Amino acid sequence: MLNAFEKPSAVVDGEIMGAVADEIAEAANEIEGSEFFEEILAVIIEVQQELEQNTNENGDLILDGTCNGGANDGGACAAGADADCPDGTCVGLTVPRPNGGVQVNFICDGWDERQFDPDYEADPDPANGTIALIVTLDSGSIGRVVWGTADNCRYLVPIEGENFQASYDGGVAVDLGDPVPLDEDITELLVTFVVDGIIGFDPIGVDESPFRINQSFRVKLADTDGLEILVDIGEQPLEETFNYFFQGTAQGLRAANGTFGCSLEDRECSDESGPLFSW
Amino acid sequence: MLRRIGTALLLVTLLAGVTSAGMGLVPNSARAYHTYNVRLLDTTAYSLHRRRVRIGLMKLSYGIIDQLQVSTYTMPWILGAIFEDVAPNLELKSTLYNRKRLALSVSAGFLEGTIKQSDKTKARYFLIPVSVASSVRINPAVSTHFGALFTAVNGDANGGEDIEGAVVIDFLQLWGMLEWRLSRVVAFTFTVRWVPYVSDVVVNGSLDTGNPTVDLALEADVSELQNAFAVIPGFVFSWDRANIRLGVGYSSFFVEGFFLVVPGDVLTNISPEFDVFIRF
Repeated sequence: MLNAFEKPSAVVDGEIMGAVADEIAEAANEIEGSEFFEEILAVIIEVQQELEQNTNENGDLILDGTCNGGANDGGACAAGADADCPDGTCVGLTVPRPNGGVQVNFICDGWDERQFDPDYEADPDPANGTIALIVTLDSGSIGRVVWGTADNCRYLVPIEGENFQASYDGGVAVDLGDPVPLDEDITELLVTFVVDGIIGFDPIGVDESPFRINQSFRVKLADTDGLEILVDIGEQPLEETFNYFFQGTAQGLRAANGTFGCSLEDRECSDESGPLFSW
Repeated sequence: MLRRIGTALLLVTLLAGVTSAGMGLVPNSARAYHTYNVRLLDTTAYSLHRRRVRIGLMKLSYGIIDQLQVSTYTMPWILGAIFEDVAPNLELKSTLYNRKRLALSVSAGFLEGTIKQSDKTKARYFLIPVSVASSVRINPAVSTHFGALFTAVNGDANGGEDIEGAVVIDFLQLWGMLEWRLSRVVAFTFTVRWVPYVSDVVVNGSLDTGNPTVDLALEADVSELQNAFAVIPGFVFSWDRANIRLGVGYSSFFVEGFFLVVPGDVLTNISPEFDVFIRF
């Protein structure tokens, strides 16, 4: 999968684009619109922050931290927060540079718009669906691959002052590229997703039918306009692939026969010399 | 500072040993301890004979029969009492074979205790040490002793807001000791301990963060304990009933009674060995 992203194997022409352009447009629209990948990454980031708070400067995970000495002697502390134990040290069950698995269960926020009210404290309601992820730890860093499922996870997508109801139900695998240290900003990473599920997203209330997605794509959370979709056109999985990317208002594809600027709306691809093919 | 204390301890040990050896070259007591029948018990294959007792700072032992000794280490009891929860422990040691120049023994025991981590959290531990040892009397003055100790540690913690779970670790320790009886009072010992195998620490627990909940299944890196070793020269002084075992060595500290190894850099590579006991 990752190799397919790096080395597109398909030779793309107008005929091929004609066959897949609508699928690309619809998938991109659903992925970018529903932002369900943001929900997944938000859970991973929350776990990362929680682990960082409980990890000391040596990379050891300290569980059930208690201040030893100092002004807060005997009080609870997080190993990564020096302010918790002024003039003392945070001690507890120490797991040196941990390896292993972390099972994460997140109850989704649901569609109640009061969740955006800073004074509102909602009790997590399993009826809003869940996200269950397996995160690995590699010598204290988060392992590059995270996987799991979303069980009819409901959430709100704010768009231009309005909140739209969205949901995702299905499997997900995330590749972070490399093991991620606990202090690294995941939003700056180019993250590869493999998803197989159903997106429920209807921003304009026209089409209420859920969208079935079985797709690989890449995003960088800090770059809200960027999306790269892996298009698989071979008879066998990953036999022939190319990448279709969106960057702001620009679009294009990377294929075995080159990188071109394209427009799904104008139904053509071009390079510096001019139009190459259309469909 | 610790290094200076360590050097001073080593010098005192050597000085005491040499001085006592000199005094003991001409024995003035037929009751002096280092005899054919009365042998070192720790780090050897020998055990107390029937109805014999050893009362020491570190260990209490009783000979049930000639081939079976029961012991308990004092430190887990004492430290446990200080920290509000005693640590019961028992060890049975059997010298299965003791003829001619060779003795063989097996031993097994347990240590159980609780560490209070906070007002709400307690960590319990349960250790099962199993060992085998052999002793070879090369001549009346010199013996060698070899052994292996496998310790299985199982622990769990609960009651806190952040962690509930279990910890498992196994490790193997090998040792060899040269015993050279300089006199009937003084024996020089040279002990080498080595940890060739340490399992990864497996921690199963949970981190209660609200939403999301986080369940952990972790392996901790304890590679710094792998190949931990200690080289400890020392002396055992043995009088009518009183005995002193004293040694200061280099590198890791093998904590008697708790069956634990403290990496060398924690104690500036000082590895002490000390006990005072009487036998009757």
